[in-house]
Amino acid sequence: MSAIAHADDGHGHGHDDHGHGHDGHDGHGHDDHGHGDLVENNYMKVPNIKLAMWTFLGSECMFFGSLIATYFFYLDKSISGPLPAEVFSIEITSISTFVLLMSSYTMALAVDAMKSAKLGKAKLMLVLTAICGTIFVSFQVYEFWHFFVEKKLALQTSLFGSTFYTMTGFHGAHVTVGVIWLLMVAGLIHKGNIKPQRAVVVESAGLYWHFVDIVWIIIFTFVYLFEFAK
Amino acid sequence: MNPALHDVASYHTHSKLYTRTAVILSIITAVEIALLYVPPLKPILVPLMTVMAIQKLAMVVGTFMHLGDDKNVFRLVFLAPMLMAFLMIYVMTLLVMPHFSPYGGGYVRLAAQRSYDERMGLLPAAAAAHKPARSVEEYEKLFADAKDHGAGEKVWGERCAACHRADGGGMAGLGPNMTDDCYLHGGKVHNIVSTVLNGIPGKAMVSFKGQITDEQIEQVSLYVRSLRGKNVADGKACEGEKVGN
Repeated sequence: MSAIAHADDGHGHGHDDHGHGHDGHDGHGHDDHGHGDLVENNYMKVPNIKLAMWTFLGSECMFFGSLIATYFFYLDKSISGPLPAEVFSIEITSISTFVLLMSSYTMALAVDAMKSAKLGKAKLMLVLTAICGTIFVSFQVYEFWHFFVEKKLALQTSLFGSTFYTMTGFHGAHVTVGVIWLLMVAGLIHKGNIKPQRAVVVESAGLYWHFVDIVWIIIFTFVYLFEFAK
Repeated sequence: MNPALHDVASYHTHSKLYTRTAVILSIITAVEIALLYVPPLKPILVPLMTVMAIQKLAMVVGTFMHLGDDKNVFRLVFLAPMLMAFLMIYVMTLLVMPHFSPYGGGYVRLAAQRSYDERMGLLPAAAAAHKPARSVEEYEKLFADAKDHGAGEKVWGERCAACHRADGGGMAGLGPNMTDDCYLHGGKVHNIVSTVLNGIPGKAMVSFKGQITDEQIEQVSLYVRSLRGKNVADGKACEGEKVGN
């Protein structure tokens, strides 16, 4: 992230490589913000960082899709318990789900504030999002501890244990990475290294965060709620 | 201008739209959870909740992530794999969901339930056990007189080989070796019949009562007894007590 953010300073004047091909776009003469090929895909006319992020998230769809599909493939095939319905707590998971959902809201507001050049609000919203993410991960740590200690469900206990911990554990790891990432972005804004013109940096971090949220929307409904709806 | 650069002056805030979206998302989630407590809806809950989850997903992707009004290439690189992921989940789930599945529910689930109850001390010690039909002596005589174990061997291949290996040598973490002189639950034919009938709570050995006929249980038990002493190559090490002939 920071490397791209710093490109602002490094390429502020190195603008000559910018002129070929798409002068038609440049009606306003905003040449003082040139970023060369580092940030713009000259062929598709989209920011490279955003294209990279969407492509990465596409691969993440397959990654989590595999984990969820595997969970379902082995559901009801464990030869030793406990069974999902005996360990899941809808009450607790509902709270953490709500917290994560709200973090998507604050994330969207952070990008919005960044684009409106309200840096203070952007930083606040990023920190709030990170706090929500931390709360979510804390709930997950509690859940794992509860399952492991009180319900005697370990990774190696059964197919359910293996597939459940792998799937939700990878999701929790993604949230953790997201929290660190958002705090770094907030720090870079604070130091003045990300300007509102470069809001795409915050937006890309936001895309990752929203993606982690939609993965949980699917897991919460398919894995937790279905267990009691069948 | 460079599309990677954001034009602050011409930007209009979306915060009201975001607030509205967050409220709707919360309501859908609340309704989803509340539906669990409405018993008459149970038959249609799964499709209903699927629609609601996809709706939430579409709102986050469309509004918060702005995929709807962004460039085509983003939709291509994201939605195509997402479609594949859902297709994969759907196919795997279709194979497994109880209504469609040749496996789902069934004895595996019951065995899991029972072994868990046992481990957690939820079962009374004397769970109703199935008794072998004949006495210890009758089974031993039956074994002494038996010439052919073909029927038992067939059941073995279908039901037992998966955990005890086709040649009976056993598998690490699963079934013990049946070809040595060691037994965890007794080496008489009567003991073997009882083990196959009742399974071993807390272990991978499930009860086969009702899964196969009582006659098949006797046949396979006699076959297992006939394996003793074969000591196949690479068999699992001795577990339990060594028995004499």
